[in-house]
Amino acid sequence: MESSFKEIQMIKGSSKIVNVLAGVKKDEQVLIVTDYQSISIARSLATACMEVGAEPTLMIMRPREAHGLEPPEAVAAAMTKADVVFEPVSKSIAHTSSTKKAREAGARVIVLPEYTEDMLISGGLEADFEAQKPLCEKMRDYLTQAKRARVTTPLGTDIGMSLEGRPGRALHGLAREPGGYSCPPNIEASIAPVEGSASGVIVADASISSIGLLSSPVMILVKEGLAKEIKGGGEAQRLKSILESANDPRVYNIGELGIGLNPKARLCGLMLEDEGALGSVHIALGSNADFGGKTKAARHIDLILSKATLVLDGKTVLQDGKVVI
Amino acid sequence: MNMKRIEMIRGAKTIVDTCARVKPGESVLIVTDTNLVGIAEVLAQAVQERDAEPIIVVMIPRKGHGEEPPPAVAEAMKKANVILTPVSTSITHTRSTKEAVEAGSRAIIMTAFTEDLLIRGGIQADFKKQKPICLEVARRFKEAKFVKLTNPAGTSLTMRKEGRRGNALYCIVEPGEFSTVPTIEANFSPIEGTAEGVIVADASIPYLGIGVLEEPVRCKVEKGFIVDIEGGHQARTLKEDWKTRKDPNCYNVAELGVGLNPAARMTGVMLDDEGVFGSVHIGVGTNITLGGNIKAATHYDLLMWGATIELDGKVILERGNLKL
Repeated sequence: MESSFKEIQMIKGSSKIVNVLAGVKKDEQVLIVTDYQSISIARSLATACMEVGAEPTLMIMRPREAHGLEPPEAVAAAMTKADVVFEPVSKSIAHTSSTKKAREAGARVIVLPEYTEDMLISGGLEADFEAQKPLCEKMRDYLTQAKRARVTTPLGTDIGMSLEGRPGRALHGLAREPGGYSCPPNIEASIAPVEGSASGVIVADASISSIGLLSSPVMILVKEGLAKEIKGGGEAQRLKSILESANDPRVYNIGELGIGLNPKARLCGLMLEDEGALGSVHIALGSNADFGGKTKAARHIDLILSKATLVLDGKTVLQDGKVVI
Repeated sequence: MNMKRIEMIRGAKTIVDTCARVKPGESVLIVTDTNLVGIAEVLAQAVQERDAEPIIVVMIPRKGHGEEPPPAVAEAMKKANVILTPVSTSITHTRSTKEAVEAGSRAIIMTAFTEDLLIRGGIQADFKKQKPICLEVARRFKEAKFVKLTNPAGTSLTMRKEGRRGNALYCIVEPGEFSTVPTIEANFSPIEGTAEGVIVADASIPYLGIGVLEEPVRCKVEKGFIVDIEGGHQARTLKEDWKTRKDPNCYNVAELGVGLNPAARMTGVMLDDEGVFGSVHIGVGTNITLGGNIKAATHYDLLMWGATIELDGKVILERGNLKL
């Protein structure tokens, strides 16, 4: 742990996560689960915890080999005994049974996968999370009530899907209640479309998980709820090979429809910023069992679209990337 | 960059390979605090070399020796194959350590460890060779009923211990055991309320920044508890600390131990001092991890030179020389 003057800039972001998002109080037990790649983020969060008189404990593990793998048993056990758990890790443990059990035990969990020092300094974290919460919940309610969704973009996206019977979710970033969950700086309302119902064309023009910002659009032909064909340049080829290497037909499932609602988040190739960017739409391939869907796949890959128009049961809620509710 | 780490790796390997006997695939929880992270990192390197999984836990230093770690840490300790504890304030005599060991962990206690302790001194001992000697002293302790301790500086202390076990700490652990490193010692916890006489520490009190003693610290003992402390400024430091604890159990005569590490030196660092071959220490305060019933806010050791120990009238240590 060598000194880094960058931490002077990072403390404000850490303080916001600790105070505003997690609502850490004096004397609370805060567990910071981290790995060798994210130590500076962990240390900055611990410093912010000390400031409010809480007790931070760091657990530093080897980076997991891939996103979604469980932490060691000792770490998982510790996670069930803390008031608050922060997860600044290079490989996400957000979608693990360890995180699920920690929340069930009452911990407020704030996941920070692939978090960078710069994300603590500027960007989406500067948003007024409390102010966005009503809009986020309103959008969630629209999604919950809608039977059908249609997404179009100027570059040629035109896809319809059924949302019937599926609950929307509001990820507003605040995790102040026991069992709460936050993935800052993302603020989004999202839903798992009915499997097999999506049909049309997606043209991702902004970014894709594990690939980053796109230099040219990636076109995906969707039939019967599955991505059937992927066209475009080098990034389309990368997406193809990522999906193929998963060796799981369920990764082609149209698993999520989400709307970014963080006015400070920028499209920068980092997923938690990109998904949250106000007015962006993401459609994900793969898993959705976490939030009301039926698919548990080996991957969850977000495709980010800009300037999208989203129509729910004939009512426009997003017009060319502007929220109109 | 701390280049000293290059030298520290040998001691770290001794701890991981010889003392904890870490095997490939095992999970090794390294419990440290913000003061000793550098030592934890070197231990993690040695664990990584063994193809085991190191997890470093960094906590805020406990306010006093014997204070429990956070609940999350206690829970993690129960789930690890091996626990290494480079911490600045001791968690040895805590429920967390007791429960972790009962759950089958192998624990190596490294309280107040220093970078130098990983480089030279007691860590250079042949632990396997000292093991039978240590076990024999512990066996003698186990069998004894009545113990008398004297030293040239004026110690004269008697105590009863029938029914109490003898503990052998030789730095090599099996599942369900813990040991300090690099101290090699045999000890026991006398029956509460039975110690009577005078303890005169003239070697070291390796706590509270006291270290090697400039002048002796004299403690009067009645019915198992220290009732009076005399000496110079070092005695006053000890006396003041106990006073602020406001816990009568802090004065309990908790342990008699004899050092058995030929490579250890008396430097004012607890883990080396207690192991110095032929030195004797009286532990004061908590004794639950040694076989007793008292949980106190602290556990401090008073070390002396040239002691003689009689077990039921038979001398096993004569002026610091072992007589087995």
